[in-house]
Amino acid sequence: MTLYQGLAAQQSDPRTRSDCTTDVLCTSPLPAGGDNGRTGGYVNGAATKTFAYNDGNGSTQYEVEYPIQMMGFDPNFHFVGMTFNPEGFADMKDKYYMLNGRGYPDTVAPGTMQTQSTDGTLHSSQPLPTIVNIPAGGRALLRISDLNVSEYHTLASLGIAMRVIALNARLLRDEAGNDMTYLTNSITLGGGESLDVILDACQQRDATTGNCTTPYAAGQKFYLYTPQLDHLANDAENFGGMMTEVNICNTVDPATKQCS
Amino acid sequence: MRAINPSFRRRLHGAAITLTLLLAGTAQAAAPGITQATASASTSRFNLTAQAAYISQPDGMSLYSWGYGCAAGTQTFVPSTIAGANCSTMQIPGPTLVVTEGDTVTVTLTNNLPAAAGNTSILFSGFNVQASGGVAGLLTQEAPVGNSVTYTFTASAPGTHSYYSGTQGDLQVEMGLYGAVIVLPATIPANCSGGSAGTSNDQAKSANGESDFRLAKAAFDHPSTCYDREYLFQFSEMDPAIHRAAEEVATCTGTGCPTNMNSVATEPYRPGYFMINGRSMPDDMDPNYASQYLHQPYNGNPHMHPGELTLLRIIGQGRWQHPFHEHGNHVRVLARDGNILLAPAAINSEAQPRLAGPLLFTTTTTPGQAMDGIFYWTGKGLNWDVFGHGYAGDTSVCIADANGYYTSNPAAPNYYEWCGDHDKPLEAKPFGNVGSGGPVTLPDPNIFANGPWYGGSPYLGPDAMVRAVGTTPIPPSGTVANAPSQEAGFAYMWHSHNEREITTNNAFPGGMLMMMLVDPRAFVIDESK
Repeated sequence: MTLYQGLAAQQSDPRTRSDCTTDVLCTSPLPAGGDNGRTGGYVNGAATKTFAYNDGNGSTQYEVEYPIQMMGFDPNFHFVGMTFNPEGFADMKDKYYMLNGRGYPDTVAPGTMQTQSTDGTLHSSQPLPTIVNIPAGGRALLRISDLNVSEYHTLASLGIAMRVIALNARLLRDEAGNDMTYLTNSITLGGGESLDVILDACQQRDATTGNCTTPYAAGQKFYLYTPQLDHLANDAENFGGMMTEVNICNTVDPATKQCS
Repeated sequence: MRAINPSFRRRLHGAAITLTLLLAGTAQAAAPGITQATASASTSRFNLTAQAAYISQPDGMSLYSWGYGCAAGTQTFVPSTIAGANCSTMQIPGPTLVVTEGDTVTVTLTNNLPAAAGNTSILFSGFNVQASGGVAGLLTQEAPVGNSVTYTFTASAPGTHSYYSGTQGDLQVEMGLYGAVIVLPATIPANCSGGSAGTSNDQAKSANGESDFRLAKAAFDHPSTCYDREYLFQFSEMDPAIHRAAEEVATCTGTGCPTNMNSVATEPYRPGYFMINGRSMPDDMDPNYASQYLHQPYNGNPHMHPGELTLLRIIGQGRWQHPFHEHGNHVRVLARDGNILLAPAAINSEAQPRLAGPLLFTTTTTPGQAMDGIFYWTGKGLNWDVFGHGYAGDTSVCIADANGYYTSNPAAPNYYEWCGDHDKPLEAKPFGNVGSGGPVTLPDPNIFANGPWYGGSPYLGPDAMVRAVGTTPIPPSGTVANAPSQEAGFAYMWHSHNEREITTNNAFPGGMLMMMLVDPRAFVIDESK
C-alpha cells in the first residue's frame, strides 16, 4: 500500500474522513497531484520510511527528528516567586533564552545535565541537548514549539533552508489539496504555538525520483540561532542563549541520534 | 477541555473581582454594531465624534481615555435581537460600523477632544478613501478641535476591517481612538441560507426557541463561509502613565498650561491593562451594553452549541502583537484584512476556488490587522459520550449522517452528537446515573471543591450534569457561576499566551482572557445578555 492509498482509504471512513466540501476545518485534503509515484513508504504493508504527516505524496518524509522547545525566563520574577511578595507581571523581562531548557553552549553538550536538588542529590534537571545531526543527503524534521510566556521568538537557520511543512500541527495544504509549504531561513512563533520544519541536507534532488543528487558534505556545520541578538546571552554572559549547531554526518542513528 | 479549578479562585485578588465573576455567569456576546442606512439604497452614513471620557478597569482604576462615539442623530443597532443597545458620544472600541458590500459609506467625524489634543482623524484600513473638509494632515484630512471632516469610500469587498486615528497615532490610538468596520456580503450563497426552512443548524435554533444574532448568514460571497454565530474581538493594551500624563495636560487650567500633547511621552512603554473590546477580564464576561461600562459597550464572552460554525472577527488595535490562543479546536482562517484567502483555481467543476487559509490554534493579533476565521466544536475525538448516554432506561438515539454526526433531528437534545462515541462511558465506576466501565476515575463531586466554572460533572447538558452527580447537591453550589441545572456547558479558556497579558495591572486573572462556552442545545444562548 502506498501512502496515497492509505490516505484515500482514510477518506472512506467516517471517523477519519475530512471532506473539504462540507467541513471548513478539513485537515487532510488529498494532494492535488496525487503521489507522483514517488512515495515508496510501504513495502509489503510495512512502513519503511517515516513521514511527519499523512501527506499522501511523501513530501514530509524524513530520516531523523528533533523536538525543539523555545523558552525564556526572567530570573528576577522567579526570585520574587520564592518570596511572599506579589510578582510583577508587567515588568517581566526574560534574561535567559533556551532551547529545550538549555542556553548555548549547554545546548550542544551531549547527554543529560544534572543539578543538585534540595535533598542534596543530583537530578536530571535538563535532560535534552539540541544537537541536530543530519545524514548527508537526508532530511531532519524539527518539531518546534514556543513555550515562552512573555514574547515572540524567531529562530533562524544559517546556510541550510527550512521548509515549513505545518503550522499549529496542521499540514500546510489548502482545501483543494495544493501544497502550501514554503522555504524560509527563519521562523517566528508566539507563546503556545508550534510548527514543523524540515531541514534538507541536500542541495539538489532528482525531480522524478526525489533522490538526492548533490548532498551536503559530511562534516559541515551550520547554526540554528535567534537573530534577536539580545536573546543570544545567558543573562550577563554574552554569546549564549538561543542557539545550537546542525551537523552534517555520514550517517545518523535514528534512535540515538549519534553522528558518524 | 479546561475545567477551572479552585486554585484559580484562590488567586483572585479582591472581593470586587469575585463579585463581578458571580454576576458574570450568564452573559453572552455577539458582534453588535450600528448601521445608518439612508433613504437612498446602497449608501451608509455615520456621524461620529472623538471625545474624552473615563473608562473603568476591574481593579477599580478609572482611566482617562479618548474614543470615537455617536454624534447626535439616530442609529440603527444591529443585530436587532440585542437588547439595551446604545451608543454614547465616546466609547472604546468606537462604534462597529456595519455596512453591505457595494455601499457608498460616508463617515463624518467631529473633533470634540480637549483643545490641547489638537487635530484628529480616521484611517480606514483597506479602503480607497476620499476625504473632504477639515485641514490637511500627514496621512489624511484631519478635523481641528470643534470642527469636522468627512470620509467617503466604497465598501468594495466583504470582511472585517479596522479603523483608527491617523493623527499622532502613538498617542491617539493608545488613548482609545479605534474601532471596526464589518462589510457584509451582497449576496448570500444558497447553501448558507438553506432555503425557506433554513439550514439544519437554523432549525435547531428555532426548535429550542433561540433568536438569531447574526449580521448575515455568510461572511463572504463564498459557500464555505456560512456561519451560525459571530463574535468580534479587538485586542489592545494601555499604559496608564500615558493616560495620566494626557489627563494632566488636558485638564490643566490657568497660565502656563501646555497647548499640545508634545510633552506626553509614549516611550518607554509599560502597559498595565490588556483588553478585549476595551474591557479586561472579568469585565469582558459581563453583558454587551452593561450599564456599569458606559463607555465600554462591547463584551468578549463567546458561547456556542456543538456543531455550530462560529465566525471570529479578530483585530489587533494596540501597538503590540498578542498570541491569541484558542482552546478546543483549530480556527480556519478565512481572510486577512477582508481579503478572502482562496486556492489558485476551482476544482471538480465547483463555482469558486476552495479556501486556502491555514488552520491555527494561535491567531496572533497584529497592530491594525484584521482577520476572519471559522471555529467550531463537536465532541469528535474525545472518545467518550459527552452527554453521558448509555445509562439504564436511556432512550436516546444517534443516527450518523454522512459525516458521522446526528443531524437528522434538529430538535433533539443531542443534535450534532458525534455518533462514533454514542454510549461510550467515561467513568470506570458507577456514580450517579451515567454509564460505567470507561477508562477514568473522577473525583467524587460531593467532596471535591468546585470552582465557579466547574459544576462537578464532566458531562454536557443540564440533564447529564444532574444525573452524573446523583441526588446530593454539589457543594459549594452557591458559588457556581453557571448553575449546573441550567447551563452545564464546557468552558475553554481563550486568551493571550503571554503571562503579563492575562493580568490586570499585575493581578491574575485579568487582561486578555475569556471563557468560550460550549453549551448544550437545551441551554438557550441569549447573546443579548
